[in-house]
Amino acid sequence: MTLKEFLIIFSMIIFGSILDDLVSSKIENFYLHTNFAYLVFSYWVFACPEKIGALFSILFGLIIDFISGSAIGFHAFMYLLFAYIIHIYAFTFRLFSYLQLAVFFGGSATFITTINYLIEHTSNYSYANIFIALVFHIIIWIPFYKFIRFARQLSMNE
Amino acid sequence: MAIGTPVYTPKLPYLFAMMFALGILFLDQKYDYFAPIKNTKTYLFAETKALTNKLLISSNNFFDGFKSSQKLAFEIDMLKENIDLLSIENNFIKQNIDSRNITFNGKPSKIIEFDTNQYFCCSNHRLIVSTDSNYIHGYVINEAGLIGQIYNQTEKYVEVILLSDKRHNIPLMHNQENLFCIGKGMGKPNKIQCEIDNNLVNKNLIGSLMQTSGFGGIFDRGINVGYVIDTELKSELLVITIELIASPLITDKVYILTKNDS
Repeated sequence: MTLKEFLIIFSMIIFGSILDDLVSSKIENFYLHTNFAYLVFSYWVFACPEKIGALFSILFGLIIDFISGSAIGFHAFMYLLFAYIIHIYAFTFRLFSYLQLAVFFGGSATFITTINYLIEHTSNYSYANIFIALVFHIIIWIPFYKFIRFARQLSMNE
Repeated sequence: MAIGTPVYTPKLPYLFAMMFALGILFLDQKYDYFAPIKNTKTYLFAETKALTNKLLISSNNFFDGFKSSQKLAFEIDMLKENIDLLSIENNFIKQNIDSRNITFNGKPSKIIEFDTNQYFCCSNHRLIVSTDSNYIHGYVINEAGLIGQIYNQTEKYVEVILLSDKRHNIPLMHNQENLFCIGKGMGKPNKIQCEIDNNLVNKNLIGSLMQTSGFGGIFDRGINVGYVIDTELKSELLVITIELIASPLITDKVYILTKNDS
């Protein structure tokens, strides 16, 4: 990965993290916990698996841990795990429809949120919140994917 | 750029990296090993925010220099009016705090960072206030009452742990009965819990006022904390849920107080 590519991916993940802060919110008695930073990261692993290996996965994960204030090592581990899964199924994903991809990426984003609740915020764990996050991530994935792809093509001059 | 896919994904680097990440996670959760790094982050974020504000104010001041004297005279009048309003507000806050059993000798401060997402979703309920003094211990109030205690100080930024934070404990007492307990943060906004031996409870506690007992060495005795909203019997223990009187969301003006030893 060149320095330019690293900076582009890094700034997009930071953008995702900022978006998480802006969009995550309390709606009546429920809480919408978004995971845009992961959606950006997983998009890059999905689109350019040869660029993001174990080293960059752990690095981006640690950066998100540092920024988001979560337990250090949590996102690093989760990003590694999903980077590995996306890597080994890279060919299979090419055959998936948008809906199947949305379910996988939305589901994995919600899975990370759920495990985060279970490890760090057990008392705040709620099925309703998890379900809302799942529906949100699945719905948002396709437009978000198109947006990030457009940004990638623009920034990489493709 | 053509999208390429790897033909072979080596397992070992991922395995080692995952073990490394889990090791870091274990050290952080078990021993809070990375607390200095987290403090540095808090300090950096607060400093960046303060610097941005300073730059904004400086640029505003620069453009104000071009204003006509008539406009400046009008602005001075407005500022005078604002000072009067602030003075009235300050007196009102002092009276309000006095009425809540708090001996007021605190230093005014301002919240400069409060992650409300963490407050609503999760169990880390912290905020950052700026100060000119150095504190080892102390508690923080706003116009509604007690909101938290000083957790850590880095230079001029104080990290405040709110009463509702999962890691916070506060010694409490019933305002009339001879009941004492340790109020523990639930990680939910404005709620704490404490456990009392059920054999000591003679009446329904719902609606009772809970106050600080002053036994922890941090808080003064007799400060109003909250009202009991729910009780639940767990074997011999009565778990009571307390709704806190003061919400940290109502204002960004806070006061830092230290325990009155006299």
